[in-house]
Amino acid sequence: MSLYNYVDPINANLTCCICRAPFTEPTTTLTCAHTFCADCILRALSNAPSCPVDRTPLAPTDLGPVNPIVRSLVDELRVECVYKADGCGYVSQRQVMPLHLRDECDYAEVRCEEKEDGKTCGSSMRRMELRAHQKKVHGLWEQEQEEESLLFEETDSEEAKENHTCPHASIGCPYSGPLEPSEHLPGCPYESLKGFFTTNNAKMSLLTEQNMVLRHKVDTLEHTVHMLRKEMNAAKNALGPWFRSSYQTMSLPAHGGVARSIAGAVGVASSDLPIRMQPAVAGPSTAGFEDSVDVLAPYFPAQDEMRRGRWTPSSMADSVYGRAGGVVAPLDLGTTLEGTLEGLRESVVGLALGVDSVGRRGEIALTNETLRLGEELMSVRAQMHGLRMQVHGMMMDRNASLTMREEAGAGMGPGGAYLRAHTNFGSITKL
Amino acid sequence: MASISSRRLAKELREIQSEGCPVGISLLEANDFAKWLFTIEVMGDSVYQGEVYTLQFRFDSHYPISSPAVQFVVTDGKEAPIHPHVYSNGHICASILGNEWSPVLSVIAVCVTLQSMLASCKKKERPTDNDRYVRNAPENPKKTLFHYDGEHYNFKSTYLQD
Ligand SMILES: [Zn+2]
Ligand SMILES: [Zn+2]
Ligand SMILES: [Zn+2]
Ligand SMILES: [Zn+2]
Ligand SMILES: [Zn+2]
Repeated sequence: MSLYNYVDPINANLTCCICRAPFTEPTTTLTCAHTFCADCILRALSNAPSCPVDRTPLAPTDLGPVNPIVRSLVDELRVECVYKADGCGYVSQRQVMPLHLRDECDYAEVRCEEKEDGKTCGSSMRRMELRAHQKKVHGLWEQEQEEESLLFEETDSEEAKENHTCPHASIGCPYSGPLEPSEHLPGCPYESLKGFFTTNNAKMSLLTEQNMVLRHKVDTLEHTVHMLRKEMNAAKNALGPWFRSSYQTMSLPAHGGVARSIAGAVGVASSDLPIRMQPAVAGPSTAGFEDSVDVLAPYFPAQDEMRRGRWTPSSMADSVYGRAGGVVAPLDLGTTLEGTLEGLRESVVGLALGVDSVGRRGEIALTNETLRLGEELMSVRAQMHGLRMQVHGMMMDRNASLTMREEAGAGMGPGGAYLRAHTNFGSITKL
Repeated sequence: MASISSRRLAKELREIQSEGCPVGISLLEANDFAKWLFTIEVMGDSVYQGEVYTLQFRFDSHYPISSPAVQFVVTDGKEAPIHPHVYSNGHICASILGNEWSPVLSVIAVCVTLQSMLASCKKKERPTDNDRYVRNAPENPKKTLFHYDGEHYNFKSTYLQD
């Protein structure tokens, strides 16, 4: 929450509904788009994990920075110096006030950093008292002390109406004497320069103010750069071997191509070329990326192998059986991540088509085989039938001859013979 | 430099002084940023017609992140309204003062809520567990954890450990 008093009336849209003051470091909820001071909402969330306005569940991770326009609107509101009650009349944009308090304000609490006998003084006082303190306690500013005491004497004497100082004493006129300012001024060398000093002073204060604003901006920008760098590194890590700067992506295809053609035509030894220009024909390990990529290199074919269409399943088989490397996936590290994804997608489509045709071929083969088997079965069945008929015929003949034999020799136990014949018959007809 | 809670309270006080309180509510005393007193009266037709109650707010340094301690004054001959959500020691069982407090709310918002709580009451009666609660109640109503049970408040109350 801001501790400043604002000079102008505040637009209600720019006030935080927790502290009822203009936003300090405005922060928006990503879930319900309510805006609060960063500090206010974090303290509220530590008390209850929901949005103070609509009570929907909310976590600190659901918070994001507000639109920069809103940020500027509140940062540029004019505020009074916090030491106004003590006498400082300074008014400035809110974003500049911390710098005023740190570097300028006469009423701000400062710490004497003077070192004496290796120990820092450390006593704190208002900035306006610092000089007197350092003079008195640490014996600094002695030379100026004399001048000042001189000035004091002059002031004393002025009170006694004996001596007059020049109105331009503040800008350097050393005159001190019996002449009234009106008498001294025509001859005063500083009189002719006073216009210069006035404009110069005005310019100075303008520049100081601008400088302060710029310093603040630089601070913020440095912070932003730091954040961006961190995010960039995280992104780099996430991208891994696919990350390359725009310089590399621009130069690699063109120069690489030229280098390759030169290498091919003139027969320059590839080792003479800078590493990024080496033609990548010697195999995946010289694909021309950072060393860290080499771990993955055997898994990825060199980019120009892909381009020239040399990368075929047979070359994959070569690399599988002929080289020490493992399986080679159809990835091309030479393009962007997007290009690689596109390539992968195409490969998947190709694979799907392949699987489809294999399936269809299998189906046809299966149908053919079934037909063939069916025919064979039919013929076997027919042959079987023939055989059965033959055996049947044979058995009939045998039965006939048996019966005749029985009728001839009726002295033998007829029941037994009859029974045997019938059992035989039965077993044969079962075939 | 003033603390965050007193700056926020100073703003609320300035608003009360410049814009005034809603009808039936008036500021009785606000000498510091620790304790404020309001009188509260139900306007129009109600079972509390013509009765004026005194409401006491106490603030800690975490206001408005943490809720104010609000209760009816029951000393100096003053009494708490007879209401199913108000105990005879002045403690109030209202979700807005407990787990439904939000830093977006203000002192006046609490007054208005309590005023309408009284206005909607049809029958004057104490909470069913009034005697048990008053016997054991902590001095600060914020130390009581009221249990809200939907629309029909269930006045089981437990006490928070210090
Ligand atoms: Zn919200
Ligand atoms: Zn705020
Ligand atoms: Zn100042
Ligand atoms: Zn010192
Ligand atoms: Zn002069």
